[in-house]
Amino acid sequence: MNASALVIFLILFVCVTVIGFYAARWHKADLSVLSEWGLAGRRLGTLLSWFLIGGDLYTAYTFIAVPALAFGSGALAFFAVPYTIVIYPFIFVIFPRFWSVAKAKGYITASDYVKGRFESRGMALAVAVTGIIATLPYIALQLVGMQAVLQALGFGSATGAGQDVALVIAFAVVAFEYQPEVAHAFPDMMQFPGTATCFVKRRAANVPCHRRCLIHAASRPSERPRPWKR
Amino acid sequence: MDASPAARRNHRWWYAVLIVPFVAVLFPQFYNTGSPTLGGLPFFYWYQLLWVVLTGLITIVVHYLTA
Repeated sequence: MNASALVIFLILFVCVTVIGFYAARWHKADLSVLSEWGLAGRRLGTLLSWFLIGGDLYTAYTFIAVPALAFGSGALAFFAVPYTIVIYPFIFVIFPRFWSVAKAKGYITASDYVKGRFESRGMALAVAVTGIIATLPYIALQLVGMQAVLQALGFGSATGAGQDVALVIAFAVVAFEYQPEVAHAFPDMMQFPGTATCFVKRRAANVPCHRRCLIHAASRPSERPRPWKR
Repeated sequence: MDASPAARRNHRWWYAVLIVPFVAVLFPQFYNTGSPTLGGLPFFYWYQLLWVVLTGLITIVVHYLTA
């Protein structure tokens, strides 16, 4: 066990937990409104959005999988650098336009946008389902990455249950920072494991969960996106 | 800055500058060599890392020219 690494990890973990508990009570929002729940009421400014986009892009994959690939295969891993470079000019052009349309029409998810733009429920459903299915292996990858981190810190061995326990504790802390949401999400979690993993990912990156949004969009007329008009 | 519709259309052409990083990094043929090295680092590596900075600068310039 690496004592200094463990101490740094624990200090950061406590800091993030305290900030999380504080944030849940700061600017209390009406979480029954979907845009408050999923998009923080569209009130995140430039700085917080910058952190969120960074948090979405630079994950366990960036810090563990890519360096590991570079260590194992060399220059092959450098595919990650050009694609990360070209993402920024791309989203610089697309996102502001996307944001203003989504704000004007009240869209929350990508499938809301597709439904409004192409007036096709089937296509919106396809986008939502693709989002969920594509997110599952990515979350699995993040969990494997976190396990590798915890293992390197000395929580359990490759075959032991030590890092599983640490992982469960970490996620439980994150979940219970947002008790109203946990209570709210619990029946959904029981129904479909995808929702649980989607929920975790949403917590980590503040991305709205597609399935929940579909349910809400169907059940709350006031939150339904307005039809697309040019 | 002039915000008339015609001027805005002219500003839009600055977005084309953003194609430069795409061309520069999405064709490994351009930089798949070991020399010239920079402080012992092969060209292949420092060229890509250089484009991280250059793309950031280009995006900042385009942001102000299209604002």
